[in-house]
Amino acid sequence: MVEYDRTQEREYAQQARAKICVAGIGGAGLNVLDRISLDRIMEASLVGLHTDVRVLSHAMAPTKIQLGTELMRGIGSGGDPELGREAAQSSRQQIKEALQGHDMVFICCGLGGGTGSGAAPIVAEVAKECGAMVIVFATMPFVFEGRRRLRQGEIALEELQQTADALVLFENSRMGELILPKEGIQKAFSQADQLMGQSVRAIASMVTQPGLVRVGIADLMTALRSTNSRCLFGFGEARGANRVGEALKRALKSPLVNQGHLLQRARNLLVHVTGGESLALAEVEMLMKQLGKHVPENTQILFGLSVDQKLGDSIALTLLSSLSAQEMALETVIEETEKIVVRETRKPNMFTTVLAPATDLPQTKGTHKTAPAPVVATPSQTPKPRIIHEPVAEAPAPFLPALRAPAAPIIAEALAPAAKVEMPIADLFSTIDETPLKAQSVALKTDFILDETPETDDEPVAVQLESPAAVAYIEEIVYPKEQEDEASLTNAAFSSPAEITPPAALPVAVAPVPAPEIIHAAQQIPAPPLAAREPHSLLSAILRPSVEVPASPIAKAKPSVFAVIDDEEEEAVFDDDEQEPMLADEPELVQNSPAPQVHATTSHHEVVHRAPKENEVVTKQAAPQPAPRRAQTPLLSGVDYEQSSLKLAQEEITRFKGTEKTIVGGEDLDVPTWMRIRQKVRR
Amino acid sequence: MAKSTIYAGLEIGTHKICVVVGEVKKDGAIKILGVGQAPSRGIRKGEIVDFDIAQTCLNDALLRAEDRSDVMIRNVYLGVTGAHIESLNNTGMYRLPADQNTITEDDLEDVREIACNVDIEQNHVFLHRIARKYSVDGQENVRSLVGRNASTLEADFHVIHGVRGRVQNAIRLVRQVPLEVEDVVFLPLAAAQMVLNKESKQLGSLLIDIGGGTTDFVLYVDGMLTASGCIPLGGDHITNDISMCFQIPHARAERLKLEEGCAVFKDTTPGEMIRVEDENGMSIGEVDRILLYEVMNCRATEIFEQVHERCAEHMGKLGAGVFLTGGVSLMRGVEAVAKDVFGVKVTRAGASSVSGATATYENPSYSACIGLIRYAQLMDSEKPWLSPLAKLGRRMAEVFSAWIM
Repeated sequence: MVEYDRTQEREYAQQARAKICVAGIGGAGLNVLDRISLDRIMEASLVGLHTDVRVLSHAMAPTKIQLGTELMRGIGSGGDPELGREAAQSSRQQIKEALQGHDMVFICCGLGGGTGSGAAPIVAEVAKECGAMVIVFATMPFVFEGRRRLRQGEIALEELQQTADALVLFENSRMGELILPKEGIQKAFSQADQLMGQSVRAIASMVTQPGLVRVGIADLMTALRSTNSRCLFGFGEARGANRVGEALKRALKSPLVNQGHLLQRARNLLVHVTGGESLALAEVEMLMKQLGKHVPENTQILFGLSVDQKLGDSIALTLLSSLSAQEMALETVIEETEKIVVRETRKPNMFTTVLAPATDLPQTKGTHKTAPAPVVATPSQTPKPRIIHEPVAEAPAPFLPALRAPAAPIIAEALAPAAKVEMPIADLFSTIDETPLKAQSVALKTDFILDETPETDDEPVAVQLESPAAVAYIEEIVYPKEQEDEASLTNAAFSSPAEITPPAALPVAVAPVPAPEIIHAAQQIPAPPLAAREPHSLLSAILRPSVEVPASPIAKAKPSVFAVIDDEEEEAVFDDDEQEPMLADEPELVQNSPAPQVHATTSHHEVVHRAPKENEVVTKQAAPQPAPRRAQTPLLSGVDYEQSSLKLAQEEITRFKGTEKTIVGGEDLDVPTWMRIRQKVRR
Repeated sequence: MAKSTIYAGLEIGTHKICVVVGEVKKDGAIKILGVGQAPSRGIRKGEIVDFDIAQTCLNDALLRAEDRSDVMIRNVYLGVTGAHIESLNNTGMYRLPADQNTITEDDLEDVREIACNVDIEQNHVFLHRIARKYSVDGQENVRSLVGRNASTLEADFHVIHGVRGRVQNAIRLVRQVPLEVEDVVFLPLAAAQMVLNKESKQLGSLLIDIGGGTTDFVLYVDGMLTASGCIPLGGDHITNDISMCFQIPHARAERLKLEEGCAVFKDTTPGEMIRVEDENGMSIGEVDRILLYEVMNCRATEIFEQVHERCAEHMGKLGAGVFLTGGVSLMRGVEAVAKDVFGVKVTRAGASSVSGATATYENPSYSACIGLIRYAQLMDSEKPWLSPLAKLGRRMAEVFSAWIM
């Protein structure tokens, strides 16, 4: 009788072993390849693809493909995905040759750059054509890499999702959490590479190696299946007495699992345990029991187990699952807001610098030529809130509309390469006031679209201010006194179909600020059919879309500067300020209308119709300003008294200088409360 | 523990540095042996800005405390605060293994670990993890868990954490003296031990400790610590507001606040002037009383509003109302302002349930500091009792491990 050795593992047919190819695309992809080849962790053919020949020459991958040899001539794509895409297209044949004959193709790339985002979808496509199963491992850029890269990454991600069978996405920002802030950036990146390498290896070995309880491709797909998914991946390896507990702890510590919190929402979880020959049943049981604490009961657990002699006395655990992006986002929203608050606080006060360029504007004589004010500012790393602002101002000589603009947009201009400030406006004193909003207003999306009036020949020019919770508003439009009749000739049109969807906490005010002279002019004209009857006559009511924000911390940081502009009584004292002679008029001119909501209007007609409405407000100018709650208190009524003695000493302001600022709802709480309240009332 | 023990509590505040030496008697009563206090400098908003100056002040306070209590202080319970301190409630769920249906000590340990395993920022460190309640199979507030039949076990914890570096700064300052830090305590927690009794915690109460640089609060609902935090506003800001409004030096503004200050301005007749003098008695100007009051009122209102904002979700549950303590709670009219903001009963409270020394310690300025002694007592009673020999052994082990490190 022939003895059959039952202890032996069944042998698998050789051809059953899938042929694997790992393709690393772009800088990040090559790094991962390097790591894989250094660690010699898997049997697979490694293919490196890059546009930059120098980087490629340093790579360790045995097969290298230079993308777009003709097109790029060995120079990198410079962060342009279009170039990367074209390069990959032109090298399609080579890619195909390299990938041909593999059952599984793992594509590693860093999204956000040129080659990674551009070429990866093409490579995935080619791999698919070759009949291989495509699993993409991609990293999303760090937040600090800027908004643009993030967007490029997102676009590439969408494309990849359509072609790839499975997508394992790593968010670099999350990985950064693993590393102490002080540690080198190199470590942050290499950590990302390492994690990616690990996951490639884990998945490859899971699928290819024979196991006691085998995980097949089908199981893998189940775990990763769900549209627009983000991967949860945890890997832990440990040895020693409590190796089970340690391995689990390490796996859960992985940033993509977030301490196991994210597992609570997973519907499918793939668990793969690999151990040396010493792996005991009790250990596996214990491991699964412990893992059970972190996983909801109704989650489907796909369990895989294999014994690998190479592991010796250590045990390796892989957790794999996916969550949809929305579910993932739920978690990160809070973090996001915190980050934004921090960013806001750093803005320096640019108020004074803003005024300077405004004064330098070329003055045109009383022509009726349209004077568009295109300010295109696209700060790159700002989040959601978006303001599209297209003011087309036709303003003749006498008008000095002053748009006040402190910090943000100006900084934005400095930052954004595309930003340009053209101010061919005749006498447009423009400064745009922009104030950081409360933290909650992150979600704020404000769109100002200021249309052109019929008279305007120019195309409306977009002033795009993208800033965190930023609202640009034209705050004051001041006219010099000498100006009278000419005013009627003026075409000053700020049509403002504006969509403002601020959080409820924000008072939104549209206030017209015409000079007394303008009121005459406005009253001469029967407003509603105005545009129809006198196409070339004036639209004197100047809308003043302003979103009032609880006093800007920036402005408050330097109350003395602010006082120059805001405090009526101060003007005499600060009359040396020649830049703003018109400010003398301000007290009469500045008028806060009690916050009518800005409606979303899209046609000029509506805008024109609004004109009389605004005029009504104007005529009420004499009416006492509705002051907020503390109107009768000495603090506000006794301004005279205070101002006489108030000379703000810098050292007092800076009493809290060395300390961390306390910004709540856009206000710096270190600035005296009374000062802030008064500023709010002023507005 | 039938033994009286002496503890020392140290509070490094924005206004004063205060060392309290207290004796916990065998019956658990606290007797204050001495308090050493020094006005602090180099500290803003509860955090150390200038190390050297703060160091001098700390030495000063310590000497005085040792002098008065006739105790040599080696270990202190250090009270910390600061805007960086955050807190949250976290629930940990634990499913008992399928083959087990009674709760064991190990399960409790596990569920605690899960509940405390909160994702905090890299540079943060845990200050406190305080159990709020345990639930078994959805049944809340279960006590004596071990041995109970259950399939799931839930623990609800209140976790307080702060920036590691800043907490360490305070510890470093103390270590340089040199003193050993026994434990680091978030100050309002200590104050709550003194000010709130069990009943008021059960009914729901909010303790607000308004100090020089920070306003700390803890909120208890159903006897459980529900919210806590720190707002970096305090008496210093009020003084600063006054000094900026009337353009008088900070020290003068402080005196004006203490002597004439009031946080309510409604009943004051306008036009009444207060003469402000400098150190030599020379008049440097006049201050409109109602304006002064209003400036103070604005700030006080703002401070309470900030606290209110952070506790908004628990506002309906304050049966016992708001308790004010800390130096600024001595300000005239402050409870009226608090009542305006919170709309519940407002009580001013100091540390009343201590014997010994004098009535000075009922002063609300000391409640947090004295609370440290109570906290120490509570902590010690929870610790398993160690024989002196075992203590020595542990101490040696610590020393050696420090060497090896």
